[in-house]
Amino acid sequence: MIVSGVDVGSRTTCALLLKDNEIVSHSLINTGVQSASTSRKAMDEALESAGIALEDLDYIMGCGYGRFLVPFANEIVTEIWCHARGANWYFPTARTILDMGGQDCKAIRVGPNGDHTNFIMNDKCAAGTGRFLELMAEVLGFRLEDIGEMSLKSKNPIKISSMCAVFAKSEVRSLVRRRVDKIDILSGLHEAISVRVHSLLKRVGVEKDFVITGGIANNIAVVRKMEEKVGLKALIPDEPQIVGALGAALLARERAMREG
Amino acid sequence: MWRWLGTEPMAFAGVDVGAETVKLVILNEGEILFSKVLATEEEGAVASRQLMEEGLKETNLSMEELSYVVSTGSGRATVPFANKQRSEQLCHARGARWSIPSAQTVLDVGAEGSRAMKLNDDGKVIDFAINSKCASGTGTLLRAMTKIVEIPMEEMGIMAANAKSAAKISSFCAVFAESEVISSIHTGVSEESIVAGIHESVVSRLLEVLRRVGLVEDVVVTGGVAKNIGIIKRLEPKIGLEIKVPRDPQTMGALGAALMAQEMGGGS
Repeated sequence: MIVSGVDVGSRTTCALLLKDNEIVSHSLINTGVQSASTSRKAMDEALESAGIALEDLDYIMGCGYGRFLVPFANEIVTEIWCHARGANWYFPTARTILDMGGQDCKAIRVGPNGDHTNFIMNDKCAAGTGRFLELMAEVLGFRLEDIGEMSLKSKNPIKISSMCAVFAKSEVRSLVRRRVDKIDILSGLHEAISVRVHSLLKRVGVEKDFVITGGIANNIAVVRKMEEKVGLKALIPDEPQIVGALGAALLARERAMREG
Repeated sequence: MWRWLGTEPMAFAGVDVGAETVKLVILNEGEILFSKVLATEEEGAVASRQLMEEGLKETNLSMEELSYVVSTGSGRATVPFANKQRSEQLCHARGARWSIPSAQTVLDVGAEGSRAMKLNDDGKVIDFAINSKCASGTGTLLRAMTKIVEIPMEEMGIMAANAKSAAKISSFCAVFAESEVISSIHTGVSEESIVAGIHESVVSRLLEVLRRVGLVEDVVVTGGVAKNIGIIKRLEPKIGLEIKVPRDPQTMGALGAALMAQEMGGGS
């Protein structure tokens, strides 16, 4: 049985193919403006690398912010459910999941069976999301993928007082004008985002094992700071951005089996 | 010798260091001698000194002849020559009340925040509410949007004031609202409607701040954003009251600070 999960996020779209319990292939592309063609493109890439045709798929589950724009999906579900299932597949001991995406952040509690028991989400405010770090990297002239490593080198972290991404941008500009070391500014920014995300986690309560997923899980500085604040080691999937699509595929498999 | 004859000129100054601009008002015997807004990227200390030098030159005064200086605004602590600091809510309320004596509710909308003040009959601030944590509902959001729709601020305000319909902007966050506006442009929503929608989103945040103190006539709006006719015209029907705007709304904080300097420094 081959099934698929498609997670159309605000920034990144992932299509993943699951055969039995193995990930056959997955694709990760920028969502861009047109989600309908994006989901198709992501699916085509995943199919191509696995050498499989769309008709061969038994069930397709869509999820994510753009889940309504997956015309070829058999069904759509919320990404909360998918993240819980996906994290459970990687780490059956996961009880708290922090999913930090491009434009939102979710704190999810899961039971031993991979069903979510509670969650809190911030999708109203850019603070505490990938967008925050993306904007700050832009202002400082660094690449998003580099800033985590760079910020770990800071000797004298600067306190950033703005939570709001817009205000933080002006604060960073004025610090740069005052010739404050950019590495120290970066460290302050990572602290600011971590404080914000931690407040979300506190509201659902943290129990081990603690898993971090989503694009920001690739940022080592955020991971370290979260571990410090939570007081637990974080488990990170080898591909933190595919967890939602993986969960969607697992749910697709359940459906396909039930419908026989 | 005249200094000893009790005719010493008593001048007072108020400096308002905001996020985008510095404002200075110099008073003498209750009369405004100098009032100016300086847009600057300089630090508060540099910018306030620069503007003060200009003010002194224009009024033929020296620093020693200023009996008392009060600073206000988010950068009030950076003004090196200030004798005292006072909060924005006190200064804006004072400046607004002086300009429009019937003011009972004052709403100050600046680059990085808004604040609503409720005044008693004596002009004392008896309650206030602040939004300074988030860019939604501020001048910064409007400024960022001028770049996206490529329409200057004043023109955008007029367009919003006259627009028949307003596009719904569902994002609360200024960052997400920007992306939403960009996609509205791509999907062919009319410019006028988008611009009106942007102003509506700011107005809805201002309403929240206003409602926290309650609304009593007359309502006076101050701060740089008060110059935006689109905000005023779209806020009026929401509160069901006519809004009064002082002639120079952006300098109300500095004026209020100068009035307080006059009081503290023993002027009339």
